[in-house]
Amino acid sequence: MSNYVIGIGGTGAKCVEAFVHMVAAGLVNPSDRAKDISVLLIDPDVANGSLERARSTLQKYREVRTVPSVGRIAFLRDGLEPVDRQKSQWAWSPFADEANPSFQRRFTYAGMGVLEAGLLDVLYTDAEKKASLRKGFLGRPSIGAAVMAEILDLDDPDLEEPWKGLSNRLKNDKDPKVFIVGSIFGGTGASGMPTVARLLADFMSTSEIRIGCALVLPYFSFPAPDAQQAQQVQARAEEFLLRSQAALSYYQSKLSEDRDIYDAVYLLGTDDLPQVENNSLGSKEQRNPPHYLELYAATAALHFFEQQLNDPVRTHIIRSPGVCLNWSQLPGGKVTEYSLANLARFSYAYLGYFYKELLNPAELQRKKAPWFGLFFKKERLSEIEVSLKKVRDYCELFLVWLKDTQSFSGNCQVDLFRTDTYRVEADSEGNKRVSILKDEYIRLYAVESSQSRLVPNTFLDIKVALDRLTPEQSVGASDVGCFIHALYKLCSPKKEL
Amino acid sequence: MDKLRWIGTVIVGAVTALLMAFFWPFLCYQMRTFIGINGSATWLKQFTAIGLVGVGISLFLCLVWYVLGEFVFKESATGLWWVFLLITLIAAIVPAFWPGAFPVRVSNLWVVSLFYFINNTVIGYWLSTFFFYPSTQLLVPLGADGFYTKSKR
Repeated sequence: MSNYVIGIGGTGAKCVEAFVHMVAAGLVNPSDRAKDISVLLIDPDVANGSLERARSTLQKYREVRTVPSVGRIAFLRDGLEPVDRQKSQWAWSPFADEANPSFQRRFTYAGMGVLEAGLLDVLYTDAEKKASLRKGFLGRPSIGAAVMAEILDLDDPDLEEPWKGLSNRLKNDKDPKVFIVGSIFGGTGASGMPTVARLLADFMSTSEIRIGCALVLPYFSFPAPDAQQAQQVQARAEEFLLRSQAALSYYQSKLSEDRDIYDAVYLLGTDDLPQVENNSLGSKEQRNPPHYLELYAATAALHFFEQQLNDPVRTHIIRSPGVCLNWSQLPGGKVTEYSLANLARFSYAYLGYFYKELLNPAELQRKKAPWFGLFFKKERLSEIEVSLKKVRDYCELFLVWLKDTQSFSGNCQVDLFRTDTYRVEADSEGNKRVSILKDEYIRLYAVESSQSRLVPNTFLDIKVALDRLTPEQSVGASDVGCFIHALYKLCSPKKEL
Repeated sequence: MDKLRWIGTVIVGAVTALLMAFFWPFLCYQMRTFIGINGSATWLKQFTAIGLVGVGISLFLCLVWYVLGEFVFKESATGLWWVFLLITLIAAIVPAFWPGAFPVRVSNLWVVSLFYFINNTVIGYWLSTFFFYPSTQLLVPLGADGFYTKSKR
């Protein structure tokens, strides 16, 4: 049994990003750990900022797992692999080989009958047919659905990757579970989700595959386009609700007609639509900040993977919690809370103290720091540095994501972590760097009062707890891996975890 | 368990006290001609008394080091360990050469200092801190760095 996650469009990519962090925190059910989780991102706009961010997170996650011994505990225990393992690419674009794709180039009148050509003219305006699709389907699901359906045929022997590999793997898997996530108010997700789900269902018999999908309703808006932009074919925030209504009607009819496609449907929405800073509709500038609704989408994926084969088909509705989001409102209860808190506390401690200390091993040796002496002996310094940087990169991505998730929440106050305990600043190359305020570790996450005396609450507490480990406890295949293993355990917000 | 390591320190203190009470005086008696005490019971009593004071000093320093390392210091305090070592060294060497410390001046007083050094400094202080250390000070005692970070890996 294997699990697959397919994120379609910018929202799909952002939901996959949230999913990666949930997996990093060890929230995958132990019974689902048999194999790696395969991930595929679908977006015609390969330069999309949200897609790039998700891709980068997946890549960093994968790189940390190359450090020997990492993954023995909750932290990054589960493997995430691209569906396209040959080229090791996370994302697929229907226009990968086209420099300037358009609907007109894809569907030419040559070879069409009069009726078909006439239908094409009725369904699509000239502007839609001529518009460049380099930045996606321009908020037009009708364009995306036609393009996707035209390209994808899983029974085609000449099928390109990653679909060829995916179809082979699905055929060879016993009871694969595929979770598809994306928005239904834009172009790519709204067109891609039903198309991909239908293709998979047609390719496999319904008893062989379980398909779940998370339909994300509008949860952000963007400023109205200026006069020049208004002339172009593009997505418009004011059309989101209308488009969602139409899409929901479609799904409602499909679910009642042939429920056999979906084994679980998750509807996610919120009344509050915070505005993103710009109305860039594609490319690098479309890098909308993460939103807590994507966290819900990620928990939906985990929930779906936990479902048993014989569980009845269900539709789950997840609605914004209102004015305040706290731990009690997140699915998964205390397990979700402790796991995410563990990852956050670890990332904070690692970036705020240990990584900085480890950058100067000569000083640590001079100071005779016991934890350093216990964990770091075997490898050469350069090897250690490479591994340490891999962990740093992932931790930074996680903390940046956490802060963004908490800040881009509109009128809903997200009360999960105190992310004002660290700053996020862009370096000279534009990469976001985390700057930790040293003494704020204890404020990052409110440890339960019964645990506050049992778990380390400052960097020095953690350091002393590391010092207390016996030499035997530090033995392992990799110095960095063992150190990460020990540090992660010590950063748990609960002693028994 | 590591917080109970101080018990080891106390046990080592008791052992060094027993050695000072019985073994070293016996050795001195066996070497009485070489040392030049000619079997003087008063001299041996004074030797034991001064030695036991040294044992007390070593044990006290070990426990102070342990308490500070366990409950006060969060970083390795290398300097303090060396200062304490120096105190035990002074306690081992100075009495033998201090005028009036012993009732009879003998020819080879350096042997007395050697015995005090072995019992109080080496066994009582170094060995005790080497094996019964507060966690934050694991690598501080002389030789611990190499022993704990290499031999066990």
